[in-house]
Amino acid sequence: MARAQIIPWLFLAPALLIYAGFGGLPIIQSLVLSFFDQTGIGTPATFIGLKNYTDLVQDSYFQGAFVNTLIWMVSFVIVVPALATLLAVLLNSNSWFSAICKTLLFLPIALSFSVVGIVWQWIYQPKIGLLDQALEAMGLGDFIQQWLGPDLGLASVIVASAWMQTSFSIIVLLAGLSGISRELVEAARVDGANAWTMFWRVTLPLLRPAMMIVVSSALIGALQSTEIVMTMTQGGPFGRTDVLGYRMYIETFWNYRFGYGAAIGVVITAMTATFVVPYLRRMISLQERDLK
Amino acid sequence: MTIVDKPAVADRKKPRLLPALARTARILALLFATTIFFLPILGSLLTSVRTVGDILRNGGWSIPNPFSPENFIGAAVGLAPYLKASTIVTLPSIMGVLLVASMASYAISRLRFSGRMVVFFTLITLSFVPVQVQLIPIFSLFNAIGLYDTYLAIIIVQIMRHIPFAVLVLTSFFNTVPAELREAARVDGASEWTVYWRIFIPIGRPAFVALLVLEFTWIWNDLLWGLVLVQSNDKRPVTVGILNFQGEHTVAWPLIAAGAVVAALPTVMVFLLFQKHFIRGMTMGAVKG
Repeated sequence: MARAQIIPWLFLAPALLIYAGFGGLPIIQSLVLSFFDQTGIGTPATFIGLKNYTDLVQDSYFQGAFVNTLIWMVSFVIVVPALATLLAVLLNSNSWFSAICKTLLFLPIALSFSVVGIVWQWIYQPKIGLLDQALEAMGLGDFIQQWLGPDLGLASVIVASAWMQTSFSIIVLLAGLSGISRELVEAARVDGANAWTMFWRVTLPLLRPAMMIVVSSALIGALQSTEIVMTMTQGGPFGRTDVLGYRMYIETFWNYRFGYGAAIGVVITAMTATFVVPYLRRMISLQERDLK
Repeated sequence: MTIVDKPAVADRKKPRLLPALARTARILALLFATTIFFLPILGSLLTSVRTVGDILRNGGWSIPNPFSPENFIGAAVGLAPYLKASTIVTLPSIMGVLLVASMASYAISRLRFSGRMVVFFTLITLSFVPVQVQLIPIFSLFNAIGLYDTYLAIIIVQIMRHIPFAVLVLTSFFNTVPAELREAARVDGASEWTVYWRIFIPIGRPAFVALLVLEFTWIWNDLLWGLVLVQSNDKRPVTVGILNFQGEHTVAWPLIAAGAVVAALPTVMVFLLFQKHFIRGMTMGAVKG
């Protein structure tokens, strides 16, 4: 009996030990560190209670990054699910034409933030960049803007990031669409529903589980965005494209304010938790059924 | 067939016209959207085979003249050490994730023990933990134990970060394997390890292939850990390397674009070759945050 109880834990041991030691413990350490003042490694840390957090609230760099992150989240939640749904519905067929379009539309998810950052920097480059050149060629030269400048910088970075996020969301929604029973759709059609009614009354409600993943992922993706800012703008100009994740990186690895950086990490984690809960609840109820 | 391109059948007098119109509209809309979506990649590909003079004369969208594929030689030479480092880090990381995650998944899916659900749900929850809350202590830890600036540091962290997702996918897959398979083998005297290694590993192949493709892409494309955990240039992954490369060739956009293409090639090739597995892995179990 005792033996039967040990064997499962032997199978779990490598995964659990690796996660606990290199992932779990650091989470707790970050939380603790956020109550300390520590500069770099190997220096003594002083307990300062909530000071890092009260400083954060008054830090104009942090405030700017916080607002930018919220703007990012709102834009993602509005744009990504709508665009991805439209594309998924258009793509939902088995023709060769759809297959080619799918491959091209999915391609961005195979790219790294470094590559995407470079590609979009080149697109937004003043005058010789791909966007300005395209506008010029179409006779729309008047619309040329300083794409990565102080006014449009954030929007431009969000567009680049939404490009990747939409790609991923289409895949999730297509999987959702393929799960919708044909009988149901046929039944609705026999009942005389037109395409418009069918989309809103049949397809969209049935897509809810997939849509929840898309929305949660968009929120989390926006909230944790760091690398794309790092590769495109480094938060500039004048911090106008700064975000929480990038601020954390800068405070930690450029300003060596480890305690302060840890506090930002904790803020990001707390915010993530609030958006993950509904998603998690659903996943758990699904898995619970399977594991019975 | 989509739901959209089959409009109502109520009007019986002209049944052919509307569907045909709808289908054409759908194809045009799709063509338009795909083109817009693909333009950034197309533009970069065009740029990668140009000269700087060509860009200044003819802009970024004309047919490259002269056609200069030699940019790729410069890019490949410049990025070779980084590509090597990425390979050294990525392959053991994938193997490590698949091994420890499949063992854990076997226990969670097939063995009955108290605490099973708790372990599983804890792991699912952990897949959402932001790197930002692990970054500093991990950096300090590797400095303290002398693993800073080693491949091993990145490998350990990559395995750790990807355990939750891999366990989720593999557990879902193992749950679909009929219980009789294990029971029969056990009755015949096979140990749990034998059942896992001889039955579940081979049977799990579709899930392993899907995970392999996904994990390859994610680990290869990681930027943050490569930036934080190593310092020597020869240990930095290509995601960091391409940024250095960009820094060295500030305005030589064709060369930089060629570099981006070279850096992206491994994961893009894997994606194009294994697209089906890639998508199955993503939709299996759940989806990475």
